Amino acid sequence: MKHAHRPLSPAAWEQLSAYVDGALPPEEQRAVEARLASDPAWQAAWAELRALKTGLAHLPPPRRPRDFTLAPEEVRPRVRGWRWPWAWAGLAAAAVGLLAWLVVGAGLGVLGEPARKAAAPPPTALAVPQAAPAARPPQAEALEAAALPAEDGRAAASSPTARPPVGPTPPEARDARPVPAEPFPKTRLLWLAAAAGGLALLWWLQRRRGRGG
Amino acid sequence: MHDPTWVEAARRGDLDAFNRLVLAYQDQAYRVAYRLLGDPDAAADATQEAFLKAYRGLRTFRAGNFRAWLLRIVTNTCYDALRRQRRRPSVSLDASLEEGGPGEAAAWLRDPNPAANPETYAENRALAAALEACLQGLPPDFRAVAVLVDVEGLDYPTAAQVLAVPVGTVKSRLARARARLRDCLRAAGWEPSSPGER
Repeated sequence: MKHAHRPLSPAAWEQLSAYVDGALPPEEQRAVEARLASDPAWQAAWAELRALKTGLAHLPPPRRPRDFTLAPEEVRPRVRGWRWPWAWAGLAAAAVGLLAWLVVGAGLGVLGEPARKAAAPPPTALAVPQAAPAARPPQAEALEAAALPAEDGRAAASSPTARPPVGPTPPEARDARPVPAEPFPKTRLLWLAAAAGGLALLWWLQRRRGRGG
Repeated sequence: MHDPTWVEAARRGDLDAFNRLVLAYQDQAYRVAYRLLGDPDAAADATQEAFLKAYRGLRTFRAGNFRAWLLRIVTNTCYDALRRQRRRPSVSLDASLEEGGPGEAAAWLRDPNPAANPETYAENRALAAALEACLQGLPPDFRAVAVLVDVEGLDYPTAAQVLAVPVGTVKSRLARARARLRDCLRAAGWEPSSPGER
């Protein structure tokens, strides 16, 4: 059969579709019925909608392949029970370890910093270099000796008996020495980022395990 | 249909009570999943997953229409599966209509004596295959509303509850889905009309 009638507007089709389902309020229903009685296009559309509805309602039902009842082992809690406390304990231990490592690392770095600051001569010491050695504590000397700049290190390394120079450095040489650059803040930031990343990874792994289990 | 005491017992963790609900609704849940996904294995997986989710999420179910709540989980699970399916080739529903497929011929398609009227029998099967194919060709939102209302016979308010949309949206989506199905059938050479029926 050819569909020779003019097509309904989308609004009219929607109204007729709801009419076929009996989902229109009474006054709209009466209006549609009046239209159906006089308009062949509406009649044709109504027949199409009825046929579609009937066809879909009678499609062959699929055969269910099995029962979907749940077994006790399928429904045991995934994220509760004994596994979570252990998971959290592991996470907490890892966090404490990382923090302790950071604190120790940072502490060592902080200890070195004031010592170096204390060892550095005050600005006036440039004008009166002779006063500087008397004000320096022996520990500062030792620390400074350990952190000698490259020139001194190369000189020491050139000797077969490479040893740190013993005894006070001449004040002129010490004042002319460039202050070593501070690599620590950058390194510390990197460590902190690595630690945060590690913690996030641990958290994600635990969450994933909880979901999957 | 469902016994509210089963729901109540299941909420307290009674698995037997929940399994009674599964037995009551598994046919419909599987049918909806099958129509939405178009593949028997994927539908079985989605149905199983949906029941598991329902059991675990029972605490979130407040008094109301348990079937609508369950079918909402089923459709959401199917939407998730469809999103995953987009990355893989899908299996056509046509197989289900072949001889020995999972479907059982519907009353309107089943000729009591196919040998006596083989032409009508073959035609009806071909029409059902065309309808199935057209249904699968709909966008998921349209397919879902057509499956729930036209195939499963839900009313608009229940379908709206399942799909979590207003009733007006169900009405308009359904009209558009039916228009697309009509056009699809016409393109396949079928004229969906049932003269004399009113």
